[in-house]
Amino acid sequence: MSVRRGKLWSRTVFLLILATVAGVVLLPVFYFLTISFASNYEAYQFPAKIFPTFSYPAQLRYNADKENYTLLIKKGADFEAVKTTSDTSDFSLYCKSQLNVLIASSEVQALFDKAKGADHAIPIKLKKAFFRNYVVFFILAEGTMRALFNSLKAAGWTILISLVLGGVTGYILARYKFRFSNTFSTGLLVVRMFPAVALSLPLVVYIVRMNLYDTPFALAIVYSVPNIALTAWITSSIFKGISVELEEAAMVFGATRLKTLLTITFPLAFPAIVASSLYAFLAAWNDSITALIMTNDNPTLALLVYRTVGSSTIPNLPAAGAVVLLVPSLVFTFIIKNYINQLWGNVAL
Amino acid sequence: MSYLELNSLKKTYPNGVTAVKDIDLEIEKGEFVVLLGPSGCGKTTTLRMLAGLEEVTEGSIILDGKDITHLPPRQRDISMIFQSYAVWPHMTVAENIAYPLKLRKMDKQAIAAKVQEVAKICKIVDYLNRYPAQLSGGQRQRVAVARALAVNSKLSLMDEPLSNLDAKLRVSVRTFLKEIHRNTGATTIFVTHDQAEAMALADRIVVMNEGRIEQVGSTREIYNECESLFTVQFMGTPPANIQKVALASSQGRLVAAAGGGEGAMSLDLGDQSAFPGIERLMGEEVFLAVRPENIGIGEPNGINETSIEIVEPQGAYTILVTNVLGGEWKIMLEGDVDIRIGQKVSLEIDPGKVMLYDTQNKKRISLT
Repeated sequence: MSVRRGKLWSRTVFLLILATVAGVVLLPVFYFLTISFASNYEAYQFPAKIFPTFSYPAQLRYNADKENYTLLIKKGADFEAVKTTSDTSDFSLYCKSQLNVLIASSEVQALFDKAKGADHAIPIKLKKAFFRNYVVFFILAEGTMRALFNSLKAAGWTILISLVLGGVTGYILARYKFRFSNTFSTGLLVVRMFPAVALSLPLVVYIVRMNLYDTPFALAIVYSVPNIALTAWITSSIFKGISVELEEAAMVFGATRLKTLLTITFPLAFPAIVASSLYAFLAAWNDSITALIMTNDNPTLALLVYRTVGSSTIPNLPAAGAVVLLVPSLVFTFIIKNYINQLWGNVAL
Repeated sequence: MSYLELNSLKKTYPNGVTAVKDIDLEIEKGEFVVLLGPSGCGKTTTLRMLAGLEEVTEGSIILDGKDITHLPPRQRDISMIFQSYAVWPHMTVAENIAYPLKLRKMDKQAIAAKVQEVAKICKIVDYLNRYPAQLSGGQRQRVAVARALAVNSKLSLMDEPLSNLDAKLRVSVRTFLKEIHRNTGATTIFVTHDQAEAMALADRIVVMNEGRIEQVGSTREIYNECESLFTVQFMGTPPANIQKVALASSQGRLVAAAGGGEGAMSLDLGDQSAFPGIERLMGEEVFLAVRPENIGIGEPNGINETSIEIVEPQGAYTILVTNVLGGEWKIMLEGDVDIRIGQKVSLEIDPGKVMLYDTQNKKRISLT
């Protein structure tokens, strides 16, 4: 009995820890997601909404004494007056900029007439343009699409450079024993410890000399420096996991060393290598500091979001930018997940 | 000139370790040769040099009249079966078998026909479209055999192909390999540390120790006519019993004696006239080796009155352990024997089956 209770206890504690970790990881992301859909009005509200809203429960009241109209939005049990005006275009602009509600002046006029006819506040429904912040982010934040492509280019180059150079180094470390090979592979991790900023400052000089300043390729070079080392470290353990006998068998049965590498070793390591490219991708994708130093007219998306955060007092627009930044990362991760789960990925080689 | 010749083959690793010291071996076409020895004896290194996976430091390898000593593996026309099966996990069974054929530029239809043919022989037709991960160890080894069979090479190498299988499967795959060899007649070199495998499979066994060949011969020769003390101690389960004895002559008969007082050994080897040239060894000490199954219990010839310490019934036979002059001796008796621990028995050693070895060079002393 006590054994079972002990088991129940440990299960409960285990689940609690899991839930806490999940909460710590997921809550900020979820909060960001909600904020990214919030209008300026909602972003100022306290407490903040947990789930994004699609419309406002609102009322429109005609003030006969001043001959103007007041918009009231439900707050708690009561309605709060948020805007009083007699001008339809003023009302329409307020709705658009503060509430993310797109309503034409003519429609406003119809609502005004209806409120004037009633002797009390009439209920109206204001439907939110749900993705308004994202549209604004792409329109307002200048060159968002170009920044997105810059980011993709930088990430692509980083992956290519890291995988080719890191992969070759990893293969050599795994297959050939030489003096100081252990020291060398530990040394690779030391390179990783350098902050990218420390590397990018001196590198800028050379980048400018090579006429590469302000290009995604130059960024990729800086991102690759620590990533070649990390990729070499990861891939060397992948290659070590592939039995040498598999390669020897190919050579005995008639393959050249190169053919063996291309038809046996590489296909076997491929899923794991693709998975390891995640690190290179994330390093390039999430960086804004190096991009700040290394670019001028061609910022990356992360840098753009960083700038938007700096220029905005309300967090909803930067949040939308951050979510835009997040989507390619998620897509990339999910593609890779499929690779990891491929048939031979789970088999001891 | 033989089909395959290894001429004073030597292998020294960069770290200075010499794994193979001077191997001379000639193998005829169609022979099944087993390299047998304890781990670290150089048998696998020798095989890998034959495969071209290990550089040859000195010496030469001639296969079918062609010097292949320094050729890369792919130009040697060999096939190999590995201990870990080494079937490629990212290819289906059919692709595994077809890969070497594709490299040999065979046309598609011929490859497909060959795959079917060898799959039938190895009884893996039903698994041709599966991946190795979906197969058991025994099935994977059959795929490896099929792959080696398909290339129809000059030389078939096997590096402990049975040691990753469980005991029961090992025996059945062993039979399967022997059957395949009988049907194809492929010249085969098989490396193992398991003497039961070696004795069951080999036309000839090459016993190796510390990078050298100890003895080459048929199963019968290797077991009954051991040329060195190492071989006699290595072969047999349990191995032979060894005792240092002094040779003496007593009333015209040759006697091997050791120890004194109680538990002393005195073995009548027969009429001295049957051993020409034995005079030079009179009074000398030699090693006497006798296999457990050549010792009986009954009329004392060897040891008088010794007590049985352990009884190990094995069904078909029984192993008795006793103490002879401070050393552990094993006796193997047929069937289920009614002997209890502590029982006093006398040992009757078959003088015709005794082997004597020089104490200096550990080589066999010829008594004829």
